[in-house]
Order: sequence, then C-alpha cells, then structure tokens
Amino acid sequence: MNWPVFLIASLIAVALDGSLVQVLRVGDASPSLLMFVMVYALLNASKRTALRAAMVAGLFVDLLSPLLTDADGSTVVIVGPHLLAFALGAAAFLSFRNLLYRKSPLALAFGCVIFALLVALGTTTVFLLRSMFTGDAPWGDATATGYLLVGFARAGLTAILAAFLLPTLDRSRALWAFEGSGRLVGGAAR
Amino acid sequence: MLPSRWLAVWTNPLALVVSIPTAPITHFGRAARDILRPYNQPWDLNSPEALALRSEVDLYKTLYAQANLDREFLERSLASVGAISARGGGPVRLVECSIVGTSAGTSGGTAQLLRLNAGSSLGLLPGATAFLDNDSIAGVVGSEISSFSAFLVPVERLSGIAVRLFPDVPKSSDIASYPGAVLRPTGRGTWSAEVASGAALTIGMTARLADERWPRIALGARVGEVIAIEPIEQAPLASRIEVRPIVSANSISSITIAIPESQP
Repeated sequence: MNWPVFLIASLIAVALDGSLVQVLRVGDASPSLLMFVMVYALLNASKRTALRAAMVAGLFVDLLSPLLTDADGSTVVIVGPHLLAFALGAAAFLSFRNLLYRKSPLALAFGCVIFALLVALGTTTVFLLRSMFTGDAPWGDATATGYLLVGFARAGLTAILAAFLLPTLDRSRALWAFEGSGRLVGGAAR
Repeated sequence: MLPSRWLAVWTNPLALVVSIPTAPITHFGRAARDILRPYNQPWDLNSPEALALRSEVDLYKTLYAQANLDREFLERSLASVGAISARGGGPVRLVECSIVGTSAGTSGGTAQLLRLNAGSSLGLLPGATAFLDNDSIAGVVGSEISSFSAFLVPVERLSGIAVRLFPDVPKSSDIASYPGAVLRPTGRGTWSAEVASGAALTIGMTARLADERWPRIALGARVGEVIAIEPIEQAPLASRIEVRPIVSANSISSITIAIPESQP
C-alpha cells in the first residue's frame, strides 16, 4: 500500500469528519469518512499493513480529539482509546474479510458497520475504564450508553455513505498501489 | 490508563502539529457545512429589522443587568478598592475569530470542543470568555493554545456557573430580589439547578452570569433560559429548574473573545 496516499486520505477524511460531513448529521450521530477510508484499506491491503494503517488512523483521531478534563476548560490529548479501538476493529475485520467481495459496495457497507460497531465498543470500553480512575470521559455529564448508541448510529450512517462513495474512491485504486492489486481481478478479498 | 498529565507533555504538542495540515480543510468544510445545512434557529424571526431590534433590546437588558450586578459587587467590597480594580476591572482586548471545526472523534450526545482560527499570536489566553452577539456567552477558551489555533469549550459543557434569574421585564433595580442559582449539566445539553427563593419563578426567565470567578466583562451576560420548573418534595420552599443554553455550539460560526489586558 502506498503509505503517503493513505496518510493524506486519512488526514483529509478526519478533517472533513469534523466539519463538512456534519451536513449528514442525524441527531447526534454523523457518518465517518475516516472509517470508510479505513475499511477500504482493510479490504485491499495486506493484513499486516492494514493493521498498522488502522492504528495510524486511530492515532489521528486521538490526536484531534482533546478531552475536557475539568470544568474550567482544561483539555488533554489522550493517545490510546481510538488507536486501540481501531486496532480491535481491524483485527476482527481482517479475520473475515476473505468472505467479502472487494469491489462490492454492499460488502464495504457491511464491513463499515462491523468496523464502526467494534470501534464504538472499543472506544467506549477504554474511556469507561479510564473514567473509573480519572473521572474524565468524552461524554461529559451524559452516559456511556448514550455515547455507545451514537457510535452505533454512526456505524449505520457510515455504511450508507460508504456504499455511495465506493465507486468514487475506487477510481483512485492505482494510486493506492495495494499489494498484488495488479494480478488479481475483482473478487473475494485475500 | 496511564496518567494523562504526564502524557500531555508530548501528546498535546503533537496534536497541535497534526492539526496544522487539517486546519484549511476543516475551515473549508465548516464554511461549506454552514452553506449546505445552516443551523435552524429554534425561533422564528421574520425580518432583519426584527432581528436587529431583538438584538438591541437584549443588549440593553444585558447592560442594565450588568450595571446592577456590578453595583452589587462594588457595594459588597467597598472597603477594598484595590481588590475591586483587580477583579476583572482592567481593560480588555476583543478578538473576533471563526469556528473552523470541531474536535474529531466519536464523541456524541454532548457538544464537542470547537476549534478556533486564532491562537496565542493574537493574545488568546486560557479561560478567556467568548461572546456571541455581544451579550451571550458562547464558552471559554481551553487550555491548549497554539500560535494559530485554540479550542473553545462550549458553555453547555461548563459546570458550576453561578447565575441570577431575571424575568423578561425586570421590575426592580434591587438585584437581591432576583433569585440566584448554580447550574449543573444534566447531560441532555441543558443545566439544572435548585433555587431556594421566595421570588416567583417563571418559564422563560433569563439566566445571567453572576459568578465572581469570571471576568467582570462577562457579568450579566446571558447564559440560558428557564424551560422547566418543578417543585422539590423534600424542600417545599425550593424549586428545581431546567435551563437551556442561549448559545448552541452547533449554531456558532464566529465569536468575539474578550481578553483581559495586563495591568501596567
């Protein structure tokens, strides 16, 4: 996989997630372009590369998600919750990606649902454990359940968005230089 | 699980570095979002004239409340003139800046932190108060400030704000006749507070900042609006109120930040 392309795509996606994508917001949930890009990479890259890419994407989210630690406005950047959750989602996704067809929008949408659900579960779990020690949590005075449900709603919205955007992203497949993409035809992922 | 205070020494600067390339994209995205899906105001304002008039009326109400609150604090601490002048009484510098994005991540249910396109190069300081439309508090500047960007903590994320509740048309100049309250977040984007006062509480009352911990320029500014009142069974003379923030984080596109100037 071409890492510079992945890094640029991830940065653009995470930047748009915090701004333009909120046009598609339903309630408190909005789809995630970063997860769409991530699942596209997971579906096509080699397993080791895909896992590393997921951790890098999670790191980007962590770095751009400062946590409010005090009512007076103090913030701190915690590296870990999203990184671990993305790694968890990627590991689970890679275990069954052979069953999916790489070029099918439905397969990508299904993958987005599974990946986003696991990311929501992983993130909430890590933050919940952390909040037991420090009291800081991204849901503020709301509940972890609400935070998790928003993550689930995000999974559905991301899947719908991914199904529509796959043909557009797939036009740039040559740039991504996935391993073996020149030899394989569209079909089940390796 | 690691102590975040130790990690913050390097994670916060690293986050600022990563935020640099994303800033132009978020700025563009935010502008496009505002065009494609502007925030729907919960009230119906028909004409620009009505909007301007309402804004002007609110501003003068704020000035009136601010003057009353200021007088109360001055009378209380008349014996110490020096302390009065030091308590936010100095000059302030105003910085107007735009919201260029929100904090990334999967946080939902509560307002995210907002990224500003101004930073320490314009003199932003942690804890500086941000205003919308001159008289409504939008939030405070967060602790992490880079040269060209900073985070704004929306007012609905803040806790323990001391306010006074004013009716739509103030009937008395005696500030003590208006009930006070300390707002605590409910987790639903609103605050709740218990008010023990003989004064009549009505839905629609305006909660104005009366917290001495805030800069003096923020005193009397609008914080929220009472949307529900219910009695407390255990305390018949007290009531529990629910207050909705005047400024919603989703509705902000630009704000004005008041930075206290250092005394010579």
